Amino acid sequence: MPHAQERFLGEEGLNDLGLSASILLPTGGIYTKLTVDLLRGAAIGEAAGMADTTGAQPRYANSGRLTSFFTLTEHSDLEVGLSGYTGIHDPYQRQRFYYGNVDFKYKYRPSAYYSLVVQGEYLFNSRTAQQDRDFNPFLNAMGNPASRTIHSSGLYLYADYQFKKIYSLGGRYDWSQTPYSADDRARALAVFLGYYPVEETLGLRLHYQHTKSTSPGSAESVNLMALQVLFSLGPHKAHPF
Amino acid sequence: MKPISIFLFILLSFFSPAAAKVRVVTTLADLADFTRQIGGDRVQVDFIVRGDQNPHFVEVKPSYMLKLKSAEIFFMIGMDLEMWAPQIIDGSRNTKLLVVDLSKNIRKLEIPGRVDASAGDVHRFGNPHYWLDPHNVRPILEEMIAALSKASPADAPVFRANAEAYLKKLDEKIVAWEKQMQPFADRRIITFHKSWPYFANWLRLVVADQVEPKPGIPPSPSHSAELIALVRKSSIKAIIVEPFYDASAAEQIARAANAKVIRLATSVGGVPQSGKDYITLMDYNIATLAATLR
Repeated sequence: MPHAQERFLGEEGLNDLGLSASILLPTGGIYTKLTVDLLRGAAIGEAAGMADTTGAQPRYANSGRLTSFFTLTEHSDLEVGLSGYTGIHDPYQRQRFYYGNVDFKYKYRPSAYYSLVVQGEYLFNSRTAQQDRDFNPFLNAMGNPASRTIHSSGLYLYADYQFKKIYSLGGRYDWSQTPYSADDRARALAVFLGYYPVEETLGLRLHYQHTKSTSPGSAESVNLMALQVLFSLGPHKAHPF
Repeated sequence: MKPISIFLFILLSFFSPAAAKVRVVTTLADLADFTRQIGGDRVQVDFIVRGDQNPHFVEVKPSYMLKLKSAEIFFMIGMDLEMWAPQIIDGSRNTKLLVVDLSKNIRKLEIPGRVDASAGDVHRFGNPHYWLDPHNVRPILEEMIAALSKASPADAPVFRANAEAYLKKLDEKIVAWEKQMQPFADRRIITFHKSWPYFANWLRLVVADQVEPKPGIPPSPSHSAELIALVRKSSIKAIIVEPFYDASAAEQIARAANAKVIRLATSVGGVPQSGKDYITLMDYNIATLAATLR
């Protein structure tokens, strides 16, 4: 998963319960969908280690997404999206976060044996938080914990080229700050080779990633090599764009 | 006629229900051709799967949902060929869409006794490639006439007359195709996928085996070796490969066993020579196969 998604949405991405409603907008030959969600609102806080143990007050979150799908040629399509998400990240101080997001996905697929997918996403975060949320909060003139406003962001760019029916080669560039600090940064470059002997029901992916993380006073590099085995059981599902 | 009367006449003509065409979307290009043959200028037809695409695996694109959003009728082969169709139907948000499964009155082949993953991509309702037997076109057209007549009752006689004229033409072609293939009755062929049982059954050909060891499972070296032995032993001349499959394994078998790989189209437009209509498609398939078996 890209660093930006992992850091801002949690290790498994945005995973929350709630209600969702969507509508297709009358935009002629362009497929445009607007989705709005009312969510339980605990996911972002929990992803940042701010689990609500009081359960005293609900902290609903709201999100919205506008996507448009463009058929560029017979074999290529482009989807662009704009999303917003707001909720309470700190259940004790009732402090709020705002996420804004733009993303795109381009797919060129001239046949079942060749395809190119390029996608990217930029996420912007704005939130209020206590000066130091873990230890000895600073107090303001009124004797209350002082707040600060944090602006941070993250992005990734991904490409995957299927050059034979069962092989693909791809790469991803990541850059991300963290929800609570613009000074904690990570930059990563990943390459991967995929082998899919039985269509999408079985896949092997060799993945190498170099990540460099920096924060005030420290820096570290991590090299990760992984062999992923992907498999699914059951009847063929439809292939989403 | 006064200008105001002319204006009103034009306005009324524009909004007249009789001028409105029945908007139809089909899954396959073949079904779009049948709809055009029946509906003529009374229908507006679009389809989703190009002839050179594998109809089993179609990406669910929002643009397909948009096609269905403004359609009145959606014709599909059914029998789980279009596993992707429910998502497109749901995504269209078109609650008035009439979805017609054309397999209702088809005599189905290869209905499996049991279905599990060990058998590959089997279709639990039977083999869905029934449109490749032209005798199945009549039950297909009957379903289409019923749906189109429901959408536009005033045009029902036109739909019936057009369909009968087309079927008469098709019947003549069927006689010619059967005559062309008569010398090759009981000949054995190999196919890549199980796309051809209806076609083979109609022409009394025997499908000895498939290049895929199981439906949807890519060819393995051991199965290819078995096929080479089978082709040599039975003097099989033709290995049929659909346009959307990789022919390299079939070519390898053909080279080793002195057979020939031919690309036959399962749908209109599958190969450039298969044209834009069903009769041209079958003309091409029959002529290509006959030339190989000769």
